[in-house]
Amino acid sequence: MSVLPYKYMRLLLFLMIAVIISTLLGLGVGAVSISPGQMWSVLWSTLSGGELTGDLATRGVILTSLRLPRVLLAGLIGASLAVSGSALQGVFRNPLADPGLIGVSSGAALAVVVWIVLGVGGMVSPELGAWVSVLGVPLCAFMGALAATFIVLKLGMRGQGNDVATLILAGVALNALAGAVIGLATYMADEEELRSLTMWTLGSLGGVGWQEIILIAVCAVPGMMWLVRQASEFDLLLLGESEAYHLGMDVRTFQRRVIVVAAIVVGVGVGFTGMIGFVGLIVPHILRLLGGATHRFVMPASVLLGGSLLMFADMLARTLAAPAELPLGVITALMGAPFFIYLLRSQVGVR
Amino acid sequence: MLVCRDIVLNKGEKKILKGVSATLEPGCVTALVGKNGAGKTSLLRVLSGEETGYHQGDVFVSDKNINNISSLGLSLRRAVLPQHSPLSFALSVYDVVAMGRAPHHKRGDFELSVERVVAQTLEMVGLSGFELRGYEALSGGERQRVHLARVLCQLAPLDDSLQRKWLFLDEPTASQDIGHAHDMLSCVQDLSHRHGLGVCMIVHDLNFVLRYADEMVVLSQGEVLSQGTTSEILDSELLAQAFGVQAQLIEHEGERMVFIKGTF
Repeated sequence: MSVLPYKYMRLLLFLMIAVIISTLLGLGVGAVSISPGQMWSVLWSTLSGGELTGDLATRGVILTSLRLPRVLLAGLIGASLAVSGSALQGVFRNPLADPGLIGVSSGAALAVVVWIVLGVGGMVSPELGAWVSVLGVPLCAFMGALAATFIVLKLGMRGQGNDVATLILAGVALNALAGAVIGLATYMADEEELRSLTMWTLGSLGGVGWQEIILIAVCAVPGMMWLVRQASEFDLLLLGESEAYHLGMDVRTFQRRVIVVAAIVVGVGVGFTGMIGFVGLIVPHILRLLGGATHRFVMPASVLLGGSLLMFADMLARTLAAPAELPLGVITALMGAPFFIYLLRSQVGVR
Repeated sequence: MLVCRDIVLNKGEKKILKGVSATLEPGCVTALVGKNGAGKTSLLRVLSGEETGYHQGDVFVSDKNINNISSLGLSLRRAVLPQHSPLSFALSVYDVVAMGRAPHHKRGDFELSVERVVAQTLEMVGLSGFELRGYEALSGGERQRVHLARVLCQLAPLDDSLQRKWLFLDEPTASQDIGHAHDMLSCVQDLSHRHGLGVCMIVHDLNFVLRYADEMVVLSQGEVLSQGTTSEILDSELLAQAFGVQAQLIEHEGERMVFIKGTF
């Protein structure tokens, strides 16, 4: 039974339909609504090289230069957060592990805040200025995420043992430190800096263009594919670290690899969009409730559910308070936090 | 042959093993016996290659130092049934047992039909037809037997190739009723005597040891008190030394039994 059982195939099919529906919603709903028929006309004329006229031409522009990049970005970020969440929960064997919990996100946030408020970007030579303005924040975030990951790894994996509790505590300590520095920076920031800080810490998919999307895709997609392919290793870890070792896994090496890859997958995306919480936490849980704990199902399904969930959340962020735009992180937190509370309650019930 | 020589293992200040030497023979069931805290589980972990942090001594598997064998290489020649597998997860029994094939699949060896091995090993542990049941819904004893099936699945094929393989069991009968405990141990003994599997197990019940273990290693405070053929060395004097109990060995219908009269 190396192929997925019928039940999983059916669930995956269902999730694919969810992806298609959220894509259509994301493309169609907004200040100007675009029907699937109109999308088809735009697509057809783009492919056949035909001219669009009048109303349809405007919609075509909205579709290709505004909505499509945004929907793609939402899908990409959602998928990467969810896959990393599933991977970290698997590798730490902790249902509460999430890029946020072990300090990856706050490491990224810390680096970005230092970058924005201390104006490190301004100190770079003017020739590099254009590059710096595009790449500065994401690069910072990525470096921050990776640095945080390594600090947590160093603290949490000393000596012989592979103490998961220490690792998570190290993440908590790092989160606290980052929180304090971010608070300090917020206090020192001027008004303009404050606005860009707030937008970043709440998360937003606005203002990201094709170049950034390609950059994120190049960094995140190979990592995601690798994580999805490790499904059977994650399954072995379900049995316990000793058992996984007895079954031939080099547990420590595997854990390190997963953590670094997860940081790469999330780091770059977080750099462009800011902190979007809860997706990495709740998606794996929903999937386990739906289809059980096998990572052969959970990992690929995370890609689909994470992607469609964030596309849907971004659609809400754009439209709920139109013409204003709500921060995406607020929407995901509003959707995720109640679920998280429910999760905690049910866990207490089990024990 | 699996040999450990002069193993010294400390955990911080505490001396866990103080120069333990022991030999495990293929085709033979060896019991590790001793009081709580005597170092049985530590010795089992050393012999199975999991504990490598000993300060002195060596472990050799067929004349090869165990530290020079990769975790994957080891997993092809030995399986371990740990003391507790209390974890709960939403997997089917089939998924859990089939994980035993993971090391073979990693090496690209797909020769055995997984379905068949899973069915065979589940039958051996008395859980025929449990494949599609949820692991979560099983009782503690059933879970333990699912893990025994997983471990046997790892050792498969269950034929004379077992001569080169080892099975380590840490209190396999702890959560079993008396009938299943006997079934489990006789299944393991059968594999050992018929196909040459080397078995090393920790068992507390001395009557089980008498019945199922060919050899025994008696540990006391991190040292080997005695080792040899069970029927030869197990007597009331040894039990007094190892456990501080007044014991008598009685014979009934040709079988010897340990009768504990009290503690000193």
